[in-house]
Formats: sequence, structure tokens, C-alpha cells
Amino acid sequence: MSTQASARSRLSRSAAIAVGAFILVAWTVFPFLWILLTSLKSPTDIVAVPPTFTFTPTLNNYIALLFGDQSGGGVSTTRPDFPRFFVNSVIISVGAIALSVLVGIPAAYALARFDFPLKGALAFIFMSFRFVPFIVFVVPLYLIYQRVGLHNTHLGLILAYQLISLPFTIWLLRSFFMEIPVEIQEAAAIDGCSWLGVLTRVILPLSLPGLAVTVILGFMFCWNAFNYPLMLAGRNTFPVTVGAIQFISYEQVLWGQMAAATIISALPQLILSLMVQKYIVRGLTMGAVK
Amino acid sequence: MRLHRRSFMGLMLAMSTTPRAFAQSDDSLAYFRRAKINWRQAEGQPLALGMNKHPFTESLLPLIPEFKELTGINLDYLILPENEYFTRLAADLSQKQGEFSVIMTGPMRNWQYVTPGWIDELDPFLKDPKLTDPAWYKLDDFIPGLLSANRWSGKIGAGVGEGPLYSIPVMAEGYILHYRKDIFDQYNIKVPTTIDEMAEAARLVKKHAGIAGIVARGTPNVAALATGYISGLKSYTGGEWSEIDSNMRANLHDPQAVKYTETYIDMIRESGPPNWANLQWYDAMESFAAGQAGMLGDADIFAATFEDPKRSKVAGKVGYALIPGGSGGKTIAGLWTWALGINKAAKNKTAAWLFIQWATSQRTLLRATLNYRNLNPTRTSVTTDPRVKEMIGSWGGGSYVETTKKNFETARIAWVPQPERTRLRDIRARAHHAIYFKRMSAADALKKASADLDRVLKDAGIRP
Repeated sequence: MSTQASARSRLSRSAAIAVGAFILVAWTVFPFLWILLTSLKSPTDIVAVPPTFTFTPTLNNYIALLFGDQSGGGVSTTRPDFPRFFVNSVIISVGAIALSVLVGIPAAYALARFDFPLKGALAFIFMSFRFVPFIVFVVPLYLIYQRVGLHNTHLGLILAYQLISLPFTIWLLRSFFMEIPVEIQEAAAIDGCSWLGVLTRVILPLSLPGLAVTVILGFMFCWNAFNYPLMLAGRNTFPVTVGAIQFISYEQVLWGQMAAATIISALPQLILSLMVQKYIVRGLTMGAVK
Repeated sequence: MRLHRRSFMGLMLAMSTTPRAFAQSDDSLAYFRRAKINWRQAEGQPLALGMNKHPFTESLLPLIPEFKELTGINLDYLILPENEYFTRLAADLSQKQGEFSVIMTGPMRNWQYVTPGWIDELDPFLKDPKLTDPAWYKLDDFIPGLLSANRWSGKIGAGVGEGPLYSIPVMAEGYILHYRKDIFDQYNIKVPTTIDEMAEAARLVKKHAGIAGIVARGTPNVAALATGYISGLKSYTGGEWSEIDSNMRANLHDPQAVKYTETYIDMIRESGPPNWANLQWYDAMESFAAGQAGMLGDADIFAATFEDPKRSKVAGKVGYALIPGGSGGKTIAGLWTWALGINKAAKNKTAAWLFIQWATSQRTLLRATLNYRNLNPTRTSVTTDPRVKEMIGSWGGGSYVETTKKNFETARIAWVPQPERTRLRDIRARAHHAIYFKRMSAADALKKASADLDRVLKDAGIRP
């Protein structure tokens, strides 16, 4: 009797978990799914009330987005600047995160392993860039960029994006470096490694999962940045975030094309996260159990 | 190499989207060369435009090669949607960088830019025979009310329509009543001419047709109160009332304003959509286009969406009428014009003016309306062009053309010129939400709003 009861309770428990998991997944996936559906609808289906789930799918939004065919989008047009915006996003985000990692690794290592005056304060100053409102930086940057010719350039944006990605990189890498036992480092030193050797031959290989997490998350932050490029970029350097709002026109909003743009913009992040998912989970929980 | 590819791409696009523009190119150049000015006096100079995302702007893009051939000026441009555009423009103007030489602005915006000296007066350009051929350009072809809306004496609290011209209008919108003619006819509902009749019509539509009787913008942001509501209130008071009186005192709690506001908000609470307080302009427009509402008092140009069967379920079913007036029956609606102006910090103003003259010429504006539905036209010659008439003449069984024409005869800028307009509207929007959610009576809420506004005006030094 009792074994039956416990089996039943186990069954109902796993059923409850399954239902819970389903709700959670539905909750997470729904917005994405909704945008995907919108991107496949024609304008009248998009504004239909109640929302329709049975419609003839159309690729017009994607065609308009990539090739500039306006037949599906009404009279007011959107130039197909989107491919260029996409390339801009790739250049700027990859550039920004590469620079951040390059500069961030030595900085994080120093903050993790060396002792020097004002170490804590320095680390805090790096962090503080993250919680100062962007507007504090953007007006001076706007002025300086106009003067020195960095305005509307990829390099200028890569530099400005350091405000987003560098503090984050330093702090995340620092915590990963600190996880690695000092003994390993000392052993390497005894075997004749310089501090640079310790970093490149021991610390970095050991913290590869952490590095992967840093790169992916930093890339996402950069990819999603909106305010800096809005103020500092121009027509030739806008990333997809600023590009996506171009679908709000004066007397209409091209929801379908905006949704298509969102789907395409989300793809790199989606693919990257799937590729390195196991690293991310490992990295995020690294050191959770000692 | 990169530049080459980009211009090639632009050319391909231009050709694929508007072959007409190209076919007319030679013809077009001949037209512009009839102007007795030297179009090439700024040859080789660069010129940057800061533009709002708008059908007018888009109509210019395929014509850029033509402008280059005519003037030898090298155009660059930045296009952003309204909110982002004004953020970016404010940075440029306030830092006096001259990033954009030609800007897209309009009457209420000009008030903010004139006082600190950020934009140029255009009269000197118009009067200089080297820069403008008046006989060819025909300034008097512009609809008088629309042109004068872009003049301001610079005196806070007055002087709209007087003094220097700061920008030249390229499109105009007035506020009218869009209503579902099919439903009104079916249930014998009278097209309203007063706010009380409007409330009654909204009730009847909701009762019989089972959809919202009226839809309106409701978010507490800048645009929410600028259109149908203020036009109705102005009409209700016969144009006597303004939100700030001649002594620069807030007048929101004026008894007539209270009465109108109460009726208006009660109507929306009773017969409007349940989520009014969250509706953006496009939500209101799209819900009307989807057949979810009986009336909408808002921008006349929304008709372009309503009458397009690809984007609307109510094409051919909409009627257009003036915003219901007061007991006198006279409508005094608000209006807005997008217009081109010159940044005072611009380095190459001759090129800037040549561009404006080209972009606001009869031919360019006509092409904007014909090829890109840039509505409503600001030049009489465009409004009366047979091809334009053919395009919009059938809307609402002819009621669109008739209504907008009549509306622009009496429409005027609904606001008192002063630089604190944004805060004024925040204050008022808060009051409206308080009334809507029954947190306060209309009289109390507007009295408090008046007091708040007085404080703002005083803090800003507008009133001693």
C-alpha cells in the first residue's frame, strides 16, 4: 500500500514539475514566438483583433528588409539599410569585446593576484562606469568625437562601448581568476614561469569556460547597446538596435519589418548561446561548490 | 571602394523604387534651371541634413542624384524616428556643432530653438536675389496659415504668425473627426457637431455595434493631448481659451475647460477602450484601422492608412468631419507642420538654402505627394493638382478633401509659445489620468494642475 502511495505521489510530483516546466518554457518562448509570427504576417493580419494564429505566411517582410521591395509595406518606404546595420553591429560588437578582453585580462589578473595601493578603490572605479547613467558620458563624448573625427566611425563606437563591456569584463574575469588556487600559480612559478607565463600558460587555459562566458555576455551587452550609437553613430555606422526603430515612420509603424529585423538581429546571440551553452552553465556555476 | 559600392546600391534602389523620378530627370533639371539664380554657387561643398523619418524625407532620397547634378553639392543625411531625431538634434543644436546644416523642425519646436539662438531666420535668404528667384519660387503659393504658423515674433506668450520666418512647411496635419460611416448610417447615428453629441454618438456605437465608441491617444507623453482633445477644447470655447492667459498665468481650471474636459474624459471612460491610458498614437490609429472603434479625433493624415485596403479593414467605410465645436458650431482645430530650417551653427548656409529652395519647390513637393503620399500638401498648386485630387478625392466619398480644406481655413497653432511646453503637457496628462481613474474630480484635478504649472512658469522665469 505504502509503496503504491509513494509511487503515486512521486508520479504526481513529476507531473507537477512537468507542468511547471512547460509554463516556464512557454512564458520564456512566447515573446520570441510572437515576434516570429508577426514577422511572417501581412499588415492586415498583424493588426487583426483578436490576434489570428491561422494566416497565410508571407516572406514579404524579410524580402523588404533585405532587398528593399516595398510591395508589402505600403507607400511609405524603408530603405534596405538593414544589411549594412547588421554588418556594423558585428564589426562594433566584435571589436569592442575583443578590445575589452585584451585590456581586461591583464587588468583582471592584476586585480586578482597582485597587491598594490588603492586596489579596492580602483576596482570600484571600474565598476562605477556601469552604474553611472549613460547621459553623463554621452554629451562630452559627442563633443570630443565631433572635434577629433571619431564621430560616426566604427573605432569611435568601439571605444565608447568600452564603457559597457570593459568594467564587466574586468570584474567577471577577476572573479574567475580568483577561483584558481594560488598553489597552482606558485607551482608554475617554481617551474620557472614568469608572471606573464603563469597568466598565459596556466591561468587562461584553466579559466577558458569563464572567458567564454565573459565574451558571450559582453558581446550581448554590446550587441544590445542603443543609447551610445544613437548619439555617436551616423547613417553609415548605425547598428541593428538603432536600425530597428527606423520602422517607426510618421503615420505608420511597419510592425512586420520591425519583427523581421528583430528576429534576424537576435540570431547571432541565439546561435552563440547555443554553441557555448555548456560553458555558460559551467562558468556561471564555477566555484559554486568547493 | 566602400563609398563606390554604397552609392551604387543607392542608385539601384532609386531606380527600382521610383522609375518615374528618373524618367523625368532631364525635364526636371530644365524646370529648376528656369529659376534665375546660380544653382552651382556652392558647388563641391558638403551638406548634412538631419531629418525625421517621414514620407517627405523618403521622397527626397531617390532625387538626391538630381540635386547633385543641379548644384554640385554633396549631400549626406541622417534619418531617425521623431523621438530619437529630436534627442539627437538637441545635442547638435545645444553644443553648436553644426553637424546638421538643414534640419526638420516645426512651429512648436522653433519656439524652443529661437530663444537660445539655435536656428536662422529665413527672410534674408528669401530676399537675396542671388539666392532666391521669387517669381520662380512663388512663396505665396504656400497656404497662408501654414506658412505663418512658422513665424514667431520671439515674444513669449504671443506673436505666433508674426515676425521672422524660421522654417518652410513641407507637410501639414490638422485634426479632424474620423468616424465609421457604415455604422453611423446603419444605426442612424448623427455625426456629432458638439461634444455632448459626440459623447452620445460614442454611447450609441458601443451599444449597437459592440465596439469602442471612440478611441484616442492616452499615454501621458508629449503627444497624447496635442491632437483631438485640444482641438475640441479650442472649438468649445470659440478660440477664447488658452492654457496660459495673457498675464502668463495657468488657465487649466477655467470653468469651461473643466466642463469640456469632464465630458471628454467621461466619454472615454464610458465608451472608449479599457486600456485608453496606455494607448500610443499608433495604437489608436491601428485599432481604428482594425475596425475596433467608431470614432477617432486625430490627425487627418491617418486617412492614408484607413483608406489603404492592405493595411486597413475599414477602407471605404470611413467618413471625415470637423472636430465637434462648441455651441457656436465653429471649429478651431490645432495643426502641425513639418518644416525645413537652417542650423545657426551651420558652416555652409548658401548650400543649405539652395537645398531648402529645391526641396520646397513646387515640383519637389508635388512629387513627394504623388510618389510618396506626403500629406497634406502645403502648396496650393499641389493641393489643386488633378493627379493629387484623383489620389485622395474619393476618400470618405469626397469628405476628406472637403473637410481638410475647410479645417485649414480656421485651424491654428493650439499652444501658447513658451519653452516649457513639455512640462506643461506632463502636468496636464497627470491631471487627465487622475480624472479618468476617478482619483479626483475634474475641477480639483485641473485646479491642482494650474497651480503646478504656475510654479513651473515661475521657476523658469517666464512669469515674475
